[in-house]
Amino acid sequence: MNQAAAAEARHAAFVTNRGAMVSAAVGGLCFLGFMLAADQLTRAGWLLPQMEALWQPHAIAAQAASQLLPELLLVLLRLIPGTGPATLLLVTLVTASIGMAILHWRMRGRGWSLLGATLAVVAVAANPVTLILATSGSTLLITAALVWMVAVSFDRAARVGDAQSLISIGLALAGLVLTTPAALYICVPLLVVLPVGLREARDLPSAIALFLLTIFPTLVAIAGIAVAASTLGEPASAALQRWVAPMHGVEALVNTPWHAAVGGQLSDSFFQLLLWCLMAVPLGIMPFVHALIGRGREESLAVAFLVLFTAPLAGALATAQWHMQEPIWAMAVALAFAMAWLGARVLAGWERLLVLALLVGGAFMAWQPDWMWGEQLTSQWWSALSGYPLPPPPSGAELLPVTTANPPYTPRLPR
Amino acid sequence: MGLTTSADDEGALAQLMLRGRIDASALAKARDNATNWNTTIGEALVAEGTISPRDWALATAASTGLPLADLIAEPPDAALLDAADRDAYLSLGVLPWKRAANGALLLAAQRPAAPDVLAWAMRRYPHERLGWAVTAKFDVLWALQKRFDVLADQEARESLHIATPELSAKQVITTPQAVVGWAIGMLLLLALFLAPTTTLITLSAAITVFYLLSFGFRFLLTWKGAHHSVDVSVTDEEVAALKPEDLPVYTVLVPMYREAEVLPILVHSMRRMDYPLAKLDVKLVLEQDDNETIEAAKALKAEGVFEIIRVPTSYPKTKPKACNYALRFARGEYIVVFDAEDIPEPDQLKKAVAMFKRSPQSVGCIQARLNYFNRRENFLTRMFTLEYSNWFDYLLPGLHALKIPIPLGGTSNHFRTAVLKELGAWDPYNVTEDADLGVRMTQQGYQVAVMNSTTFEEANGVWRSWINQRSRWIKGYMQTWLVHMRHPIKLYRNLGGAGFWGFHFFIGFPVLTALLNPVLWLTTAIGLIFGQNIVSPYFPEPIIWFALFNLVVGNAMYVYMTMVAAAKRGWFSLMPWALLAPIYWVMHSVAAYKALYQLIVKPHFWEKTQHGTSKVTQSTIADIRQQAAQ
Repeated sequence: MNQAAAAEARHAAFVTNRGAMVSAAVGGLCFLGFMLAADQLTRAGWLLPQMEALWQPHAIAAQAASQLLPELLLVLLRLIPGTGPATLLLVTLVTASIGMAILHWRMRGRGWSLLGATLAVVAVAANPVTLILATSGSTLLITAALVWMVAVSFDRAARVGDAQSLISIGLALAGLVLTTPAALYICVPLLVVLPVGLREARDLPSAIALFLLTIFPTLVAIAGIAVAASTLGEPASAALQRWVAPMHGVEALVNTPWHAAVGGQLSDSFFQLLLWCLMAVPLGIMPFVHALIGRGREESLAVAFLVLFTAPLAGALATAQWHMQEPIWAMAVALAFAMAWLGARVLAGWERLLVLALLVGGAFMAWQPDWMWGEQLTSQWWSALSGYPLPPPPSGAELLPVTTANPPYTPRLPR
Repeated sequence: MGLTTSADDEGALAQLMLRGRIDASALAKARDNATNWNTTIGEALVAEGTISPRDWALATAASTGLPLADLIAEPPDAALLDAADRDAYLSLGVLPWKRAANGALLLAAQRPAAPDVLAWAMRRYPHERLGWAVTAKFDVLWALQKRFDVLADQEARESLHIATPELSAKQVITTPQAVVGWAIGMLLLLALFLAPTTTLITLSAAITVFYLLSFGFRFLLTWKGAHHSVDVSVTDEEVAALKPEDLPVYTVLVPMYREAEVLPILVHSMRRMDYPLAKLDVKLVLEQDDNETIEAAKALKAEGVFEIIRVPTSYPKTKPKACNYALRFARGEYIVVFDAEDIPEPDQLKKAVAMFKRSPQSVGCIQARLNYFNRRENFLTRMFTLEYSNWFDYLLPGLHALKIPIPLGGTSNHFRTAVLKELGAWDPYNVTEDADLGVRMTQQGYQVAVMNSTTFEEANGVWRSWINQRSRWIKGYMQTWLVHMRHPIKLYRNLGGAGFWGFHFFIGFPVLTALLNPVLWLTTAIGLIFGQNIVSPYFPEPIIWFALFNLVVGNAMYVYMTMVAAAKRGWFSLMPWALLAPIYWVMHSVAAYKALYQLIVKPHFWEKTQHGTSKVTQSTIADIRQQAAQ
């Protein structure tokens, strides 16, 4: 039996023994935690305005073109009688809890003990990045879920190399660009590493072909935006301009602390983000440990590279173009990549202990004042959660309620 | 442990040595083969082509002192042959020949001293004085065909229709179906007359939803079929674990019509099969009036495992009828159908055996994958390859995973012979008899599995021929849908919800899509040329959004699925060609309208596909001939 088959057999044995109900209970536990935090944020008067802003339909239908997927989900939610902003909060909390349950379930399927997996998931849930995703009422949660799908699919494409993993990378990327155009910055490092990391990429032609295969759905999604909006009576070019509009002119609208510090700078923002990522999600280094000295000697270093560097790279690229006003976006991406890796590996005992230590350490470090608590969203969130007064906005800056990774934008419609 | 040679066999071998027909090395090899394969030494010698079946019969006759029965020169007495005994005649290689002067019944047998033959003879003719003669395998086959050809032909044509007329496509459309169709048509016309706008809006909504569901279903199948777990159904370890002596006799049916030129490919493919030659029962199923192919087959002087079955000329002149006819002569526990130009992977038969052995008895058929060896020849062969890759590498495994009836592909369907016979075999009136059989098997409670072995064929690269072939396939799908929809409730009960809807989405709806596409293309063109105002009243919100989704995302994702098709086999150079898939869809629609026309005027007409036109095929044949000459 070769190594892959042995790993497959081990995995099958773990899968047989895991119980879905236990994972669901862990998800329920996380839900309680998230709900307590959300309750505190609501009492502080911070959360509901976020939700209300997100819940309101756009005055102009085509305005939603830059975030079609969240808009579609909102439209579906609004169709349910009796729903409102509070429903949105509930959906967010439940979704985040389901995410935790899935992580627990996947870890159990990869040999984690009940206690180990539960402790790990609780550590993840206690991480401020997770809590912000679950309770800030932003579409970041959708972005994180889609990044998680991309990461899981890429990982499988690198290890197994089946066509389904290629299709799911493509679909998840398409979903990402339909959620936020800033996702293009995630695509850049991903697509650079893609041909190197894919198992089936044997030579240049095959690498190019697989590359095209994974980005084709994204191109279809962009074409879909153009056609959908042009059906409303606009030229396709205007529709595409609208789609990327949230990424333009941001510096004129908002001067966030992040932009004030490193806006337009690639290397500075990269190192800053890398440092914050390592503080909040130190698990990002684990794939390298696993590949170099651990059980995964045959693991693709491309995957390890993606887990550690995609988030700071994507964030830095976006910051260099003044297109990312909140670094929490990069943290969410980093967390999603790390969780995808964690839920896909069978680890040795000492590796599991190390993972647990890194997860607990990450949660602890991220709550320290040195982390990015001075940023706009995080500072507001922290203030609301802790009860301390909001810090004053930086001089000259217009602090807007944050409903997505990007600010609202009113396009210029053609006459 | 193989069979030890009997005294008669040793005598026959001595005779062959004496006559110089075999030498010591050939004898040693035959002994080894017979031991390894668990066959008689005579079968091993014939299978290797060292001697002919007639040589072995002559040698056996000489060594035993029995007379030689030349059944071609002196056919059996027709009055002695009993149609009910045909299976025994074939499986044991024995039949009553004639009465001797002393009144004894002379039996002509390939193995006169074999215990099973003796036991059958004693049981069948308990009160007769029996005499024995030696005959050859081909003589038995010839004599039985000669004597029972009318009956066998009638059985091949009509047995399914007589036994279960509701499952036969002999009648294209039943009266209730015609009434329902007429009623729907009339209602539609009436609605168009009374409320044209509302009716057209309803129609556009229905078509939009139908396209959306079709796309969703196709994507689901591709998604399921793209998972790595469906790729490995039989492992190399399982194949290696099979012992040659335990392998059963495998019948290979090769129906051909006017395909003399590709015969060498088939023979070459069979010779390179990783299967004991003596356990192959290859039937070249040829039409009686196809002298050219019959003569070419004879001229090949192939090994004794190759047999020629002459199918009597009758209507309908279809491949399923020929296969039904040949099935009567099959000796194998398993049976497979190949086309003449097929090149199956050498381990395919072993993989099928391994899969059958580990599967429950309810798995009655295993479909191997099909693909093309001339994929780079032109636009058509490239598109055909992409289509087949999607079909066999993704969609069929997807159907299998979702427990939806699998319409069998044209060739490389491996059956348990007993199950095939029990089901009434192929419908000779259905021009996609394999697709129909796949659904019929599922209806009867059997399963069709798919395996990870590929047969390479010649892709049809000639436009006219492609349209002809495709129109036959589409017509066959129409027939299959009509046949199984004669009793929709029964179909639902037999197949279950997933199977029932899967049947419609995979067999019925694609045909409808090909017919509807030109109408929708025309609608889009009218909107673009004359302005959206002409068509927009019939596509109000939210229908327009779904229609747009179908137009942009649906079509693009169909192209994408075609691109993905090439990924599994690593044929990346084909991927860009997927962008031209819309041209291919236009051709489908042309073929669909031709199929509809033929369904009405010539429902059972078999559009013959001309094989051997590819340069790759010609080159392969030349290589095989060169190898043979060397």
